[in-house]
Amino acid sequence: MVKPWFKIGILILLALALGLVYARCSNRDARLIHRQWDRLVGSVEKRPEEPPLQSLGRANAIPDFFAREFHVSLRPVLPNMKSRNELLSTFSYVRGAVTSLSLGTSDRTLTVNRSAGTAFMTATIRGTVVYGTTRETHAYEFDVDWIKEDGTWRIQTLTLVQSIEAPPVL
Amino acid sequence: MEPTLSDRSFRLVSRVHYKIRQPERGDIVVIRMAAGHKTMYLKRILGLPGERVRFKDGVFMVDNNPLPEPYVVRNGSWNTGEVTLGPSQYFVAGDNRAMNAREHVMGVTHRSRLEGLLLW
Repeated sequence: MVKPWFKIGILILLALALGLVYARCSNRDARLIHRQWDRLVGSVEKRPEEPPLQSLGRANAIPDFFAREFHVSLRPVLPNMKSRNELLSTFSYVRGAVTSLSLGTSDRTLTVNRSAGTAFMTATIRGTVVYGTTRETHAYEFDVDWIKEDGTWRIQTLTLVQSIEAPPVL
Repeated sequence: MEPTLSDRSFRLVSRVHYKIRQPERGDIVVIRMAAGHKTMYLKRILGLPGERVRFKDGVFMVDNNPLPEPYVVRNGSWNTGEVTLGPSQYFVAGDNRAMNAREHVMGVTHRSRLEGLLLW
């Protein structure tokens, strides 16, 4: 004869176990998305005196972080992009034009919708760019929509958000 | 914000100021980004809600009148299109007007982005 408190105990343990599994899965998605973002940021970076072949390889990796259908809106810093070729040519150009580019994510928030296979991230990137003798540090803020495609989290939309919206400079 | 504020210096900010008072012209404000609090902008409020503002040959114009800016050491020659500020919008810029206008972060920000007032 199984006592009632034993059944309740088993149910509570089951509920806890399910909760833990759910939390672990959610955290796993968040971890994967953070890792993807860090890898993308790392691919955009350029080290001083980076060998051209390595530079090309890093630029080539950038489109892989984006979904089959995506939209990148980085105006006014860079043109809008909707194809892998546009991504590749733009980032290859940027990496070729600068001596070095170091980036770091200073802040980020992430909301994962596991059932829909989507996630929304806000991120602030601080970057230091060196070209010639000029060295500049900027901060940029992004809204990022993620989608899980073929088991991998990829960027569906990447939008530059301007906390200070620049007027047209004449 | 150079030359008024130097890089890598420690500053004191009041985060309650704008909860009880309206931002004023000339205030040096902390402007927050959505993702967090590790990176923020320090800018000066030049234009207030409802005003028509622009830079003309380096001089900041408010409703077509030049704004006296004693804190600006070198005016430069910035020219921007005119902007009409909405009910909760402020025009902010740094004091370093000698730099290229395209490389300077300036423009319109929303009241909700103003995190605090620089006290010192």
